[in-house]
Amino acid sequence: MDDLVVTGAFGLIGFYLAVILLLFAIYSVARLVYNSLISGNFELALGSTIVILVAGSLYLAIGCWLHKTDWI
Amino acid sequence: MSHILVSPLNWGLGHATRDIPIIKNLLDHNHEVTIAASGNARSVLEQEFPECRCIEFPDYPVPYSQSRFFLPKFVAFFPLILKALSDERKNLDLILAKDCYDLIISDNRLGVYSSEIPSVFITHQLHYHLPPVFWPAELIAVAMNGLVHEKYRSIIVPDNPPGSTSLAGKLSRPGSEASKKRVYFSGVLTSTHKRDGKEDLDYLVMISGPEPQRTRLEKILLPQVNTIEGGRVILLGSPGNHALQKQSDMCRVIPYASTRDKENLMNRAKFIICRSGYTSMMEIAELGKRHALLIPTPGQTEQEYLSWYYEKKCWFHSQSQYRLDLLVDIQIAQEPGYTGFPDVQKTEENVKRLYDQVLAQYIDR
Repeated sequence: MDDLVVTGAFGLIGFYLAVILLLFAIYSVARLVYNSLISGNFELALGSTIVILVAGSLYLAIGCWLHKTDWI
Repeated sequence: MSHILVSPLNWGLGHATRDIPIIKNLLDHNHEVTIAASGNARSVLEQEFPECRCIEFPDYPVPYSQSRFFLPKFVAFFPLILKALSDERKNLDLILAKDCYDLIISDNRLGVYSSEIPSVFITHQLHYHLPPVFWPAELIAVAMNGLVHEKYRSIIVPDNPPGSTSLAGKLSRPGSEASKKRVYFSGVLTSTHKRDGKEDLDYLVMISGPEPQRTRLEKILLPQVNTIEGGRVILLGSPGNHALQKQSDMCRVIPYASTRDKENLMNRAKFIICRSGYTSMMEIAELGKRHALLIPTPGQTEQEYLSWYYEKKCWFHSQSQYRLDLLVDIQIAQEPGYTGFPDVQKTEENVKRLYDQVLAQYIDR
């Protein structure tokens, strides 16, 4: 099979796997926060929320930097 | 005399029409050209070049969406596009086995290249634009583009080099090393020519692009067009829609115009209202039109980016079709702050330069 098609197929599988992983991670974190709130473990809920906010901010900051420096 | 295979993508007519000046130039140099295309792209080139042999060569399914959400549909289409790419490679092998070619020119067809025959790729998108939140996907797309470009000897970009006169902005900025090494900026390439004559048409409205968004824009624009004063022609870009032909002193609705008629109308127009597709933008640049209102196709990130970019450069005013108020937006678009595109070199010179500096090295040996 042509190498471009093979690369494309691997890329596609990797892309869909990444999407599934991302959705699973979002689900797991949401469940963790929800369970910790239900069980009254507010420190864990707060800690998880802070980690999510920091990770989200970092993601946005990298995006802004790439945009400013003409990488994207 | 060399034998050249030219193969444009059939997603709209833009790819086929920008290849017309290149094919003309090759024929002027007494080369033999075979066209491998499908659908409307093939029809247009067949009509334009009856002396050339045409081969049916299907390309990729078009993932245009009914809603604003083009991107998810495009992603869902990836497996189908990959299958089409695989078929395209097999079909190309059959075409190349039947005849001898000295050069392959692929206009945005990723699988049309050969390791044995020099192959060049025409594209104005070295860099895909995605919504900012998807920046990792944009970086991956740049790398993927590089993998595709490695297959070609040259990448021809119908735009000015990156900088203040670039018409495609970041879209034509090479991202990967493979793209940077091979890129050649040809300047605009369009089959539309500037004609001498008066600009005696106040407004030309071109409702074009993929369905169903073309019909949506027609429904939004037609009632509003009656509110503007002055002579106006509306091109519907809908060949089957003959029942809609209307005529009055000041307003004509034309279901479908030939490329020649469209060129004539564009030359006559003082103000153009159209989609912000890159082919239309090259036509506007070639004709040196200074006033236009651009309406991007919803969800098409390329058109949305170009609209944003031209607004930022103060070249043309753009408005979403969902927020369009024709009277107000035409007024804004005519403000002196909007300058139109900077003067660009014309296609005739560009195509000569392209031949001398890129194509000749593969075929004039």
